[in-house]
Amino acid sequence: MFRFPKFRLAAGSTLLLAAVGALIAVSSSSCDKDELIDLLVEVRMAPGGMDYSPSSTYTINGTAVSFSTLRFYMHDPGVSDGTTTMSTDAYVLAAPSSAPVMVGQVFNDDYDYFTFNLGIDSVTNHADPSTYVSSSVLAPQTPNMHWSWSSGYIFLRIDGMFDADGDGTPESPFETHLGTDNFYTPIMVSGNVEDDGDHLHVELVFDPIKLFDGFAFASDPSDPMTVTTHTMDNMPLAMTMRGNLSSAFSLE
Amino acid sequence: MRHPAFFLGLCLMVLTACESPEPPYSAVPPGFPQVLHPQDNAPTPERVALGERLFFDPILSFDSTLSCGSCHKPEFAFADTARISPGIHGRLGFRNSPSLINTAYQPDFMLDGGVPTLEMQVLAPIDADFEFDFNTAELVERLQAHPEYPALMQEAYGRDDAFALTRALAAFQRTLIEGGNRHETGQLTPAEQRGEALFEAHCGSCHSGFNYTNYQFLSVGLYTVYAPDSGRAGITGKPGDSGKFRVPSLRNVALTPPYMHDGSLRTLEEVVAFFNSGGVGHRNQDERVKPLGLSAEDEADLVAFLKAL
Ligand code: HEC
Ligand code: HEC
Repeated sequence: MFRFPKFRLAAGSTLLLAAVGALIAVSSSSCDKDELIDLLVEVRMAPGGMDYSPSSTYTINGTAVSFSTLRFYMHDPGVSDGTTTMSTDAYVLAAPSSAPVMVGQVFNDDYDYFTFNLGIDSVTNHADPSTYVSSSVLAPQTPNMHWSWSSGYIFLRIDGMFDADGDGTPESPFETHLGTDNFYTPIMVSGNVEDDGDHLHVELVFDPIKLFDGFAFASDPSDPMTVTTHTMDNMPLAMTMRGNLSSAFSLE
Repeated sequence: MRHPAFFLGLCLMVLTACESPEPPYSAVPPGFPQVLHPQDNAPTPERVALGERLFFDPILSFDSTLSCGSCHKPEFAFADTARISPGIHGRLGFRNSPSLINTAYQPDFMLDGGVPTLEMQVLAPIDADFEFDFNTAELVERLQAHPEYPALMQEAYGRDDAFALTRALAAFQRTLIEGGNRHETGQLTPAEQRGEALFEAHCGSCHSGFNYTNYQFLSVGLYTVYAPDSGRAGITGKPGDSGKFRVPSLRNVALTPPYMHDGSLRTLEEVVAFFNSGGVGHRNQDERVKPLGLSAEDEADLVAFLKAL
């Protein structure tokens, strides 16, 4: 569901590609590392390390919560050995139980990191979503991933309920929407990225609960703004979440 | 995504296939600049007619009760006389509906300039919970199930999705061009002429040009604290932009009470009295807003002039 048909090799790789072609032409030795291979990205939502279900209850800093919406944009997914990164310029919209996406091709090798930017680059961020064909992840979405009043994408959207009255059952709504150009954030997730035969298969795990680390979730339940942010209207919460972004991702 | 040349080809096809003479979309009132149309949205009779139909069709709102025309009423210069126009279920937003006359000339949209094009502006009322409370993707599905819209969208744009929806509404709004008021045709009464001189002296540097606005974002010092609506700062995040709103056009201003971004001033008399008093001294207040020392007669003349626009 979230394939965006756009693909560019990282800067400078055209030359490399030509070199590879030449290499393959002169020697017939099958050196796997010089072949391009599909990079498949699969995202799993795992609140607190558990399986995600919209009807399940989880705990954030002692407060019971449930999640109705968990979605985020990834741009430029790629792989890295720590010094060189090869990325694909693709856009992925990660959502619960979405199928793996082929984001592009990279050299067939073992890598130590999966890399991407959370969000949408500043040019595309302010472009017109209605110009994309409906199947594009950048086209208007349900649930909505665009702030039409300020013309920018919602990079990460977590909505749900939390337990404000302390009876253990979430009953009060909260919304956390991160966006704006300043929140376009590079993420480097360490772990082995290996060839599974036909492709490099990345299984990225996202734990939304980690984003709320260091944040008193229901400090003042009477004020919905303590648990809601559309970025500009509650910068402290948005900044806390951004600061925790890296720790919310791991590789399977 | 289709290549731009595709659309160009489509436009040419539509133009040549068109039997009746096309309305002169390039004609503007004397003294007005040409309207610039985006490359992917050159006006054709099909596009403009589709946009007009969509503009007045409540199919755009979640419960099919409200159209663009419910808040932008033709009889009030495509503005509204409610302080805040109700959205679906009577929900209230926080700004006064602006006039859409000559919106084609705006460099940006919304009173805080948060939206760069007229096409993208269409997306805003669709998902605002105090307007249509809908979703563009779902609205497109609803339009695609309509007996006539898919064919009309295909005919106008060669596709029947959000692209056609936003383009058609923008194409229609770019035809809302109006000029030739009594100020422009030189038919002012003596009182209005006195008002004109006061206007040139005290108001004309902000309300300048053929549309009575320089399109800048400025604070006039309506409040000492602009909350919750901080205006331009809500888009830029800069404290120096707090309280700033786009200088509004004053064309047809007599038709569009109440006034200011939140509709807080009920009459033109109140607006003129406000500017005469010099604002409350907001920290970003423009220095041109200062006590003017106008007499009651001056104020009346200024109001008379505003009513001639
Ligand atoms: C519930 C009332 C309401 C409805 C319905 C509504 N509008 Fe508006 N419109 C407003 C208000 C209020 C503003 C000012 C919003 C702001 O500055 O945030 C506005 C702003 C605009 C602007 C920008 C004008 C400027 O001066 O920058 C345009 C263009 C516009 N509307 C067109 C439309 C179209 C097209 C539709 C239908 C798709 C529509 N509106 C539906 C109330 C409404
Ligand atoms: C410093 C620039 C500036 C000057 C000088 C100025 N205005 Fe304005 N005017 C604005 C801005 C900005 C607004 C919108 C303020 C808001 O909504 O908070 C406005 C709003 C108005 C409105 C309300 C229009 C509407 O549709 O809501 C009227 C009427 C008006 N001005 C008339 C005048 C008159 C008459 C004078 C001279 C006595 C004047 N202005 C001087 C910038 C200016």
